Order: sequence, then structure tokens, then C-alpha cells
Amino acid sequence: MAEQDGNPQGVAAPRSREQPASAGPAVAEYSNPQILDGINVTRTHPLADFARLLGGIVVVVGIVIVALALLAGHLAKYVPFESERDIAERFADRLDGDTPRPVADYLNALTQRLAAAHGLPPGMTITVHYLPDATVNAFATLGGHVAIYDGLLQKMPNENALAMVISHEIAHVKLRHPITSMGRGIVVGVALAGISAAAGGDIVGQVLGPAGLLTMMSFSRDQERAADVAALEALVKVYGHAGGAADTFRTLRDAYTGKPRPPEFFSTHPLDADRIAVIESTVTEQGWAATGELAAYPEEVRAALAASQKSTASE
Amino acid sequence: MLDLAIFAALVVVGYVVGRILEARHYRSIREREQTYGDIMMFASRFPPTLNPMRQDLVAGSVVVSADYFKVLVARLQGIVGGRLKTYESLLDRARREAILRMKEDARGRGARMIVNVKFQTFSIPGRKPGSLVGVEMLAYGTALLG
Amino acid sequence: MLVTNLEIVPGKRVGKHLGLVQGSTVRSKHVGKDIMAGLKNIVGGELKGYTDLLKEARDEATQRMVKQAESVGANAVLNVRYSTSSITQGAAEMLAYGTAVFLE
Repeated sequence: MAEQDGNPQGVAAPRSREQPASAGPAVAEYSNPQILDGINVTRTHPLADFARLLGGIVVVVGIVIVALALLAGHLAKYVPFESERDIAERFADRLDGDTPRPVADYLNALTQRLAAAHGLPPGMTITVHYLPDATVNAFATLGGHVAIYDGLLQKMPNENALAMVISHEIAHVKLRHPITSMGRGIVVGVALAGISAAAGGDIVGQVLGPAGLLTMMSFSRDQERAADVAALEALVKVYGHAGGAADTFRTLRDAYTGKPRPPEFFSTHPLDADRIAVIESTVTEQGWAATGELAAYPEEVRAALAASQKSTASE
Repeated sequence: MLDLAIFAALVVVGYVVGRILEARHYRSIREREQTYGDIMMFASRFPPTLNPMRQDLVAGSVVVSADYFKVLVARLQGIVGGRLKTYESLLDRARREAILRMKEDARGRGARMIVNVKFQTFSIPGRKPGSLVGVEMLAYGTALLG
Repeated sequence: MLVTNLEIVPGKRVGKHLGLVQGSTVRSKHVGKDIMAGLKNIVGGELKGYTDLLKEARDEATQRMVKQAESVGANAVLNVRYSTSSITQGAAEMLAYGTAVFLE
């Protein structure tokens, strides 16, 4: 009864097999020969596959990222300087500390002199800020804001060296590097996030993240080189010679001596020795005077800096 | 940078150790497939005879996980699509291991034949959404005794 | 209690069909196992803790199915199937089901 309403075919099959069973042992017609091994796997060397995949993907992703970065950098130049200034307004007030009067006046005057020498496009203005911090550094950001750290002011041996730094930062603004970097950063970041999300998350991001970072760094090194050359030209226009420019990077090099600095490939800036070499060869090429009279900081500025250094030291 | 170095080290360890373990596992699988070669296994739903015989449900299962290298290669392959070669061998090993454990179970009960063999694959989810701890392979069927 | 995934029992006749019986259990592993599995994930291979855990859960599901069968007066469960599904992160349901019958 069960066999009938349960599963009619269930009755037929065993019955047909019952015939040989009566002739001999029930399992006589059943056998399990050894199956050929390795049919369900692909026999290729996993490392070869890995190399092929990684190579192909890195090349394609690299091309896409570089193309996007170039495009974004190119398009960013068409963003009007006014909109850049609007973006900067949101954070620019954070760059204003209490600057000693003589230092502020001195930096402003020097900056405007250099900016004039750069021949900035109409509408583009430079605002210089002084940051009371011992960091030996300076930077340019959106909206023509240039910031100089106290540490850098203290370390620079003469006005010409300082002028080279400011001129370098003005060159960044003139060449639209801050907005270009921001555009590139956004585009590359979004592209990388998209790719690693599509590929299933963290493990691919681990590989692609550094690739994007290296791309950005190499763009950034190109920008530094371009800014160095433009900065030098303005410096020569103001002072009539390129003296002091190489001092800038010698001072930077000395300031970091003994401190770990990443090798050039992993750095946003070219090595100081390379920058000095570029400066020297550019000066020779253009037939500029390599040395000349070096200006010192004005007396009142030196006094203000000494006072600020004392207060930093006492902290 | 440090993250990447740690990650690369894990991938290298995964590759070297994973490959040694895989080779050893395959050796053991082939050996035991010989040992249990006399236990027959069929996917048919019906026993070979309607003569009275004892029967017992037998099962074998194993949970396996891929090593870092296999996961990395599979993820990269996932971008371009196609055959995930590193996972093929993993699942092949796991399924054969499950079968062997099922046969071991059957041998323990004195059976020489397993019919109506079914497989089931279960991905064990991890705590992080979308993550995977491992994959369980289950093989089960009815062992015929006597 | 005879438990089989065949639909017939050679030499026996199904006297009564007693309906579908099923046993299930939901299990989650503890964090310690996760940590061990995380370490094992580096080199791959078998996760013994998980193999045992799922086996235990499946045994329990089978036992519960058998209990259901006993409660309806069956002496065999035919056509048994297993099914596993993930319910939430880190938890899985194990299900065993089959037809409860009384064999004569």
C-alpha cells in the first residue's frame, strides 16, 4: 500500500533490479571503480595565476587612476579662483593665530613683492599666515592661503631663503596645485573605493589603497618640481640673483638630519639633494646670477622671532 | 605601509603553509580512497534489492576555510570573473573528505554500500556582515548492512 | 527508531504514514572559536571546531526529529533530508526532516 500511494516508481525500480539479485549476490552488478583524479580542479600553478591577475589588474587600475587623475587635474584648473576662495573661507580663520606685528608686516610685504614678481592672473590674491609652531614647514592651500610655521622662520638663514619658500608656495597657488590635488584626491579616492567595494572589500582595498597613494605622491612630486622652477624665476626677478635658494633646501635637509625621512618613492616631496641640483642646473641654463648679496631679516623681526622662540622654549 | 607588510606576510604564510597542507591532505585523501574503495556509493534513491536488510543513515562532514592567498587570488579573479581555481581545489578536497568520513561511518557499522547519497554545502557566515568563516561540506546517505 | 533517507525499507511494509516530522536547532559559536578560526583562516584547511559544532547541531536536530516521530507512534523516519541556513551573523539553523511511518 505504501509503495503504491507513496511512490509508484519506487516499486518499479527495485523490482527490475531484483532479477539479477536472485541469480547471485544482490550487489553483483554494483561496482565503484576508481575515478580519474583531478577532473574537478584546474592544474595551473597558483603563483602564475596570481602574478597574471595582479599584474593585469594593477596595470588596468593604474591606467584608470592616472587617466582620472589627469582629467581631474586638468578640469580643476577651470574652477574659478573665486569658488576656491569660497571653499577656503570655511577654514581660513583657523590659520590666523596671534602674529607679532613686525613679523606679520614683514611677511605680508615680502609675500606681496614676490606675488607681484610671479605675475598672478587677475583676481588671484595671496594671503600669508604665520603659525606659532616649531614645525619646520610651510604650505599653500585653497584660496591663495599660504602658511609659514614659526619653526621655519627661525631656521632660515636669510631673507632670500625664506623668500624662496614663500615664492614656492605662491607658485603652488599660481599653478592651481591645491585645487588640482583636491580634485584628484576626490576622484581617485572615489574610484578606488568603488573598485574595492565592487571586488568585495577589505582584502582588495589593502592592495589598491597603496597603489592610489603612490600615484598621488608621484603627482605631488611633479608639482613640487614645477613649483620650485617657478619660484626660482620670481626670486631672481625680485633679488636679481638666485642666491639663498639652495640654502632653503640645505636648511631643510639639516633640520631633518638624524630624523627618519621616507625614501623619495614614498614621499610627497623630491629629495632635498635633487631639488638643489634642479635649482643649480636651472640657474645655469637661464644664465641667472647664482649668488649675490643676501638680505637678512630686519632687526625688529629678529627681535620678535627671538621672543617667540623664548616663549616656545619655556613651554 | 605597515598594514600592507603584515598583509603581505600573511599572504606568504598562507600560500606556503596552505600549499603544504593541501598537498598533504590530497595524499591522505588518495590513500583513504583506496582504503575505503570497497564501500560502494550511489546516488540512486533505491536499494539494489527488496530483500530484507538493515539500513542506517550515515553522514560525514567537514568545515574548511581558504587560506589568505586563496582568498586574495579569488577576490582578484572576482574582479575579472571566470574560474576561481584556488577555490576549486578547496571544495574538491572538502567534498572528498566528507565522503570519506561518511564511508568511515558506514564501515564502522559494517556496511558495504551507501545509497541515495546527498550533498549539502553550507557557507558559515562570520560575525562581520558579508564575511565568511568557512564552508561546511556534508555528505549523507543510507548505509545498507548485510 | 529507523532513520533513513530512502523512501522504502526492503522487506518491510509501511503500515501507517504519520506525517512529516522535523527537528531543528539554531546554534551560534562562541567568540573563542571565532578567534581560533580567524587564526586558522590565514593558512586555511579544516576548522575542526566548526566541523564538530555543526555535527553536534545536526545530531541534535536528528534527535529532535526522532522525538517527534516517537510522539506520533512511528517506528521509522523515511526520506530524511538535512538543510542548513544562516539566520543572522554568526548563527545557523540546522534542520532535519522526514516522513514518520509505522513499519510492519
